[in-house]
Amino acid sequence: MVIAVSSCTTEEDVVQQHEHGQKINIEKKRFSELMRFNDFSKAISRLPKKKQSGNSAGRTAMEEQYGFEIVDTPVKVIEYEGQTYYTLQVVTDGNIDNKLENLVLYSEPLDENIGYIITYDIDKDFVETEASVKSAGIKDTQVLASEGSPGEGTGKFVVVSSFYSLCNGIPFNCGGSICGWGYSQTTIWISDFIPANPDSGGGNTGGGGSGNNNYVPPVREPIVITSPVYYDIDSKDPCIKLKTATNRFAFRNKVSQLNQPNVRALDHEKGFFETVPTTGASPYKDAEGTTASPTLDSPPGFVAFGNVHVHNDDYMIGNEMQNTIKMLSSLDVRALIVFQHNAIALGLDYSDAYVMMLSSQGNFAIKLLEPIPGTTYTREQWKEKWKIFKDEYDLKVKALREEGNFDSVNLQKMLLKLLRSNGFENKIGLYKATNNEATQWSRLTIDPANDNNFPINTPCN
Amino acid sequence: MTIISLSILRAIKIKIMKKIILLISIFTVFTAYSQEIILPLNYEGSKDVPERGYLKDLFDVFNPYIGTWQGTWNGKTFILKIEKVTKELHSFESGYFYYRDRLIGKYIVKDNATGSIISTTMNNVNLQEAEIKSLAYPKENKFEFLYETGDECYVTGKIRLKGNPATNQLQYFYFPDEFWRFEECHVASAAEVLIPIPTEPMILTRVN
Repeated sequence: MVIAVSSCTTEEDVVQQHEHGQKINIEKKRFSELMRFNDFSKAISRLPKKKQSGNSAGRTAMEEQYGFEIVDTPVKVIEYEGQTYYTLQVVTDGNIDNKLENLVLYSEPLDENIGYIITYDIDKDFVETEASVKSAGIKDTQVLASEGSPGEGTGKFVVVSSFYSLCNGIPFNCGGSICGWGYSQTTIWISDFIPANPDSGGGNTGGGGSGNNNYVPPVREPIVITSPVYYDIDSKDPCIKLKTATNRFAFRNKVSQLNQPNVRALDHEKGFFETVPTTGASPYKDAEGTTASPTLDSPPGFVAFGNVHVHNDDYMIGNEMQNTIKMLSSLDVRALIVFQHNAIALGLDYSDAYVMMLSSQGNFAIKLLEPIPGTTYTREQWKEKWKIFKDEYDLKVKALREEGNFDSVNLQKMLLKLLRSNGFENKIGLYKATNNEATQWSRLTIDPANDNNFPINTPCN
Repeated sequence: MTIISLSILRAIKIKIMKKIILLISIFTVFTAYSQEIILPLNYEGSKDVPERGYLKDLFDVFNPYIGTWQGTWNGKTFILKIEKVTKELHSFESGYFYYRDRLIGKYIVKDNATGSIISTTMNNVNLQEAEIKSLAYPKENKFEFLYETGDECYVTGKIRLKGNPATNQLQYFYFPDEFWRFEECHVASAAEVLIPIPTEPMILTRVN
């Protein structure tokens, strides 16, 4: 057991402390690209070999040897004082509590050490920003030597974080009109890792520790310079985007409030829209229909790039049953295209646009697989195109209902086929949440062998 | 000499026959390829309508609804004229297309007090201009129609006609679809969007 004592400092402090006169630069590079460089391939080759385990599914020989998997995220490369530090996201065999793990390798060994495995005290699936990684702190470290098994890690960890702040250039001051959104700020924080006092009962005591007063912590060297690596925030991969977006803390809370039987039992829709606020306000805007006007109404003047809404259970209007569709609607498809325009106008990327629907028959989302309409169609032309889509959607839904096959699987197939016939097959992706919290997702696609089969379900890993 | 002439004639005959067979084959394939595949209305559902499929009203289930229906609500009169359109083309970007028979509705909304026309689509002649179009087919004395406004806000909903049309009376219901105000819709809220057709239940009586 180790104790994490983290402190926050500024880049200048660190430079002063270590008499360094240069800035720390972070670059992101692909693993495959780095393997062409000697320094990196040598650093990888120094990793201690591990005996083959029985769990070899889907691993390369190298990963199997070392007992971890490298996650397909960019490698962060930090050059500092003639040494290069490579940080990769990994998942080790022993990661039973799903924490975020990074492998830090040096271009040249420091004494016998070739690098570290750092375990952050945050779920690897629940990373919002580097700010949240920082606030959670480091849970554990293991030092890697070229020979033998990883040992308990000690050292001074300089973690360079480049994260989004809600503050407009003034750290930790989010009041008044100075607040903006998306201000990128680089901070450095330092974590000292010392083994726990063996007499303290093994608990985390923090701040240098309590317990045996005679306990002398070991020397905390060497200095490790790293930067957290988790999901690729620059990725346009809709799976990664969806997973990252839906795992944000505030977003999850809002979805959780909507994803309730009592909300689905209403006689009108509820949901929320998301934007990039310009005044530090919440990025979310709630929306709710009424009994008289049951559908969701977009808030005026709110330039949204995403929406989450509930498709209610069947309900009565007067004495007539309103049979709701527990699937993304044709309007949702149109909204996604509008959200793409909005996302770009807001300074985001087309891949940030989303529409998500919660229902008693599952939670679904649509994302753009590539930017549309590009230069091919005007907005008005899209409207006309969408009218055709809607007409066909309504015809198919009605036919399914009259046939008595109005279930979720048939609705999924119907929507996928409709996207295909309308030329959207490679432009709009349909996703289904695989957990109730709607934080894990699978992409649904038509089975190429037989499009009447169940849709193919590909998990977003 | 005679033997040679006969064999030449036979060869010419075979050649001509081959050409005729080839022409007939080409014609047959072409005809089969260009012809639609006629299917009943209830073929559609979990099955795909094949390319060149034609969902035809083979059993005239649409006919009892054809005619002019009228009802009053909130001091207004709603006159709904239902017509049959045959072989409406549905074509898509992927190249896939099919046909279907369909009912369309044209309407007049009148103010009972003044007799003035509030809204009408009776003069629309193009199928694309139809604001009311049938969905699938009637079942258990229920028949649904898609309603869509022609204005920039593009409000849509479903009209449900309930009852046996042979009795010359139908119950009318309206269910709004999801509606979001997109950029081109200049109203302050969804409630302000004008829906000219009845949004409350009413009775329609056949007048023609």
